[in-house]
Amino acid sequence: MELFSVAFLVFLLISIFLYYTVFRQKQWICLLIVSIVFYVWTGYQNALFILFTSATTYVAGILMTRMSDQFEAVKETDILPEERKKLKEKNLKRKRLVLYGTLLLNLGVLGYVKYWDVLYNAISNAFFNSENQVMGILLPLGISFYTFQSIGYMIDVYGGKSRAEKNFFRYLLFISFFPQLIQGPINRFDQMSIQLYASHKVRYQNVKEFFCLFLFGALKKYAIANVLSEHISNILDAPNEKTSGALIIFAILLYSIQQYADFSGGIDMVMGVARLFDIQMMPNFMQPYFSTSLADFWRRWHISLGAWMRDYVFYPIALTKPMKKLGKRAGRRWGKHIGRTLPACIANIFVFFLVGLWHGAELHYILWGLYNGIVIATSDLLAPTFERITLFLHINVEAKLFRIFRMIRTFVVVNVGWYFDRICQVKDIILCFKNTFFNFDIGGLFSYIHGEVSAYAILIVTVACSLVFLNSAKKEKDSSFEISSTKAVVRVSFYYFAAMLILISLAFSENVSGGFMYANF
Amino acid sequence: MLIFKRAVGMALVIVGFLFLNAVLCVAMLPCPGPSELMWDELKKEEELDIVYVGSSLCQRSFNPYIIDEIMGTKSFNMGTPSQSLSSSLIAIKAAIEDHQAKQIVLTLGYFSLYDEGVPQAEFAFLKAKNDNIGKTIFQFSASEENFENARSVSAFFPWTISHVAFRPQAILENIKDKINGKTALEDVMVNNEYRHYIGKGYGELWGIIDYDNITDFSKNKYSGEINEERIQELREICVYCKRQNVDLIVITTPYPDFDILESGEDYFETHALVKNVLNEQGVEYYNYSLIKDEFFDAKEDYFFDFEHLNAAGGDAFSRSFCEFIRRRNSGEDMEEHFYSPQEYLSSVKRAKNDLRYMEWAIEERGAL
Repeated sequence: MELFSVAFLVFLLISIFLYYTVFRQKQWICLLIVSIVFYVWTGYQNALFILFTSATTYVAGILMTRMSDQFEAVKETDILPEERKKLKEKNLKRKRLVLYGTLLLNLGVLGYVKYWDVLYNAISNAFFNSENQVMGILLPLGISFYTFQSIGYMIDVYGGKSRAEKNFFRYLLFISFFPQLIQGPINRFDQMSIQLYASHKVRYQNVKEFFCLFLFGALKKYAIANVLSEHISNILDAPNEKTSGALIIFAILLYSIQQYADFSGGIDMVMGVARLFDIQMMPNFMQPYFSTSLADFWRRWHISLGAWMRDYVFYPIALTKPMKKLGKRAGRRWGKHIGRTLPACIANIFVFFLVGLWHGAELHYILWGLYNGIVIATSDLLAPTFERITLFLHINVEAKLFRIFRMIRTFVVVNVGWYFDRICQVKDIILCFKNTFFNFDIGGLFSYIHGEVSAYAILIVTVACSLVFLNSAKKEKDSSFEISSTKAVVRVSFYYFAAMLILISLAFSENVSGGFMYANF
Repeated sequence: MLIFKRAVGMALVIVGFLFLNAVLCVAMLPCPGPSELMWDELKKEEELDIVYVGSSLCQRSFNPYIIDEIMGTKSFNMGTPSQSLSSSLIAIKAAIEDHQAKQIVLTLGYFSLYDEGVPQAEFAFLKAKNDNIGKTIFQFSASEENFENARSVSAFFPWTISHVAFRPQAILENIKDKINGKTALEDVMVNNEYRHYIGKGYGELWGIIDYDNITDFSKNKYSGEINEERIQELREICVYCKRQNVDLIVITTPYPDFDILESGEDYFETHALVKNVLNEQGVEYYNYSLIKDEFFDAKEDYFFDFEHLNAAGGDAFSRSFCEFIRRRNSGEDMEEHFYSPQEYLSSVKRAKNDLRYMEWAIEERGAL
């Protein structure tokens, strides 16, 4: 079910009505029911997966909290410090066993549904020289998101940051809250539980925010991403020796726009939906193309995944004893800076390897992840050198011009990364890089635009992108800026403009047989 | 007071938007076209013996005047451009329930099984049938196909689904035509240099395909995998006709050989699948592209383009179809008049076309 459909809008309307009327006293129950209905609607098999994840992580949370409580109770009694230490270790071991066991179960399920196809084919290709087969394993909606969300919860409970939720149904709501199921964000229990289980009233501001976010999201999705996707596929799905480098760069630039518009557009829409229930989910984008470094980009792009990786993978790895030891040894040998950053660099490369894997098991995703990790690690290691160069060249790092230079540089680095992300075959990635540098041929680009791109597409995308850019620039200057908080005239003009642009782009996309002789029906 | 003010404000925004939508509908929704013409003409008919349904392939192939003259029947062509199988079912229901049709001939182009349909065509078909925009919007939006995607929203803004070209001149001409009350017949007859409406839903195409400049193939125009939903719709048509005790025959009208050769093995796989599905339902299926010469010789100059018969082709096909039906009704096994895929491929009867096609393919693509 698409968000921008009558089915979803009717579903939303009914949900909202029930939420603020019939279930006014127990709103979380309403949210749970509509979330389950939404999930079953997308396929009842999906519900089994989410129930499995919820049940296993719920039980694990309860067990770990109970173990902690038992230990705390014993700690209060008069026992010898040595015994207490022993008990602590024993308790930690048991908790770890529960954590690792549940992790294994859930990551096993995720791994099976997400990676088994690719892995199976890779093995049969390598050892049995057989052809690729489709195994027909359907990926349950949002499984990557809710698995990570539930793992985050378990680690929080394990580390004592949160106490386990005692009521299974309340916990199930945290995992299955329907706006987050489609494409995230990966929410945190401590931030969401307060809101999910509280009582809410209808607020005019929420309605305004819903309209603005939903329309803005749909505008990004339909007037930008959907219009561009066909051209990107035309160019990058099957490049050949003759594909001009200029055309490849053009497609990669379009991809960077499409990727952002599609993902952040979807997020805007679900954020708007959550606002209608008076719930604020974790932000997922913060003007990423205004970043001044790749690390900064990853703090602004898919923020909830980045934060999850930072808290649950990066720190646990970077702060392990062997890493600390490595840091000390490197510090003694190569200086303080290397000693301090080396463990972080290794952890970063591992984190980005996982980010790549999270997107898919195909080699190009892993290369894309590693590319990002290696660039960030290298720039961290070379930071003092860069500082010395800027000093030597008397560059004012605070100057606006230098900031713009850094933004452009980051944009280029990010776009190089998109080669790995978007082009599926490694041989095609190599070919595209080769053509980019050695077969630039600007004529290829012009003839493609002239022959394949309609003036309407250019107009729609340019206007929509300008609107997105203006909004981002305004937000970059003033982070509190929201269209919903502007004057009524501006807001209403935005509603009209965005709605018309979405409709025109839909009309444009339906015009599949335009120019065809039988287009008259 | 504040709540009242806000409610009024919101209402004004919505009313303004609805007004804008209405203006755009007037400006952009095209004048009545072939779908309106077909439904208007059908209303004039009473009881019918045979009804032909399907896409433009049907519209250009079955000439009811010729068939009725030879067979002494009363028939009508309900073909409309890009008619989907779900629209065909609507047409069949209307033919049986309102005109007591005794035999249905469904024209099946394989592309109807591949793609997701042409929404403009479906919308125009429904709009013409209902003659009521509100009902059309509801039916289109709530249809299984559209309810869960953006088209269900588009339906409330009909100009986004069915519209004239996004050019000021085209829009102005459209408004002018509407003011002048242009009719479906005028539009179908005059607005298109190729179409020539004859009557009883049938229209001819004038012209012959230029075999020296072949660029269009089914494979180029329609690509994709067989959609299981379409197959299900085909089954539904069979079940409905069986339940109504109406004789259903499914026909694939003749295509030029180069088009079939271009499609390669896919073509015969689809052929086998369709045959299987229909035979399971106890429905006869015949592919006229595979028919033997003694029954119908698909001459070069019978084709208007890579898929449609022209006026001469339609004429010849209609005559051949009468003979076909006569023999079929007399109990003859009609299967033996068709080539198997292997026989078809090894047939040399259309070598002239094939050679031209091969020359073109070698020149354009470097290889076959």
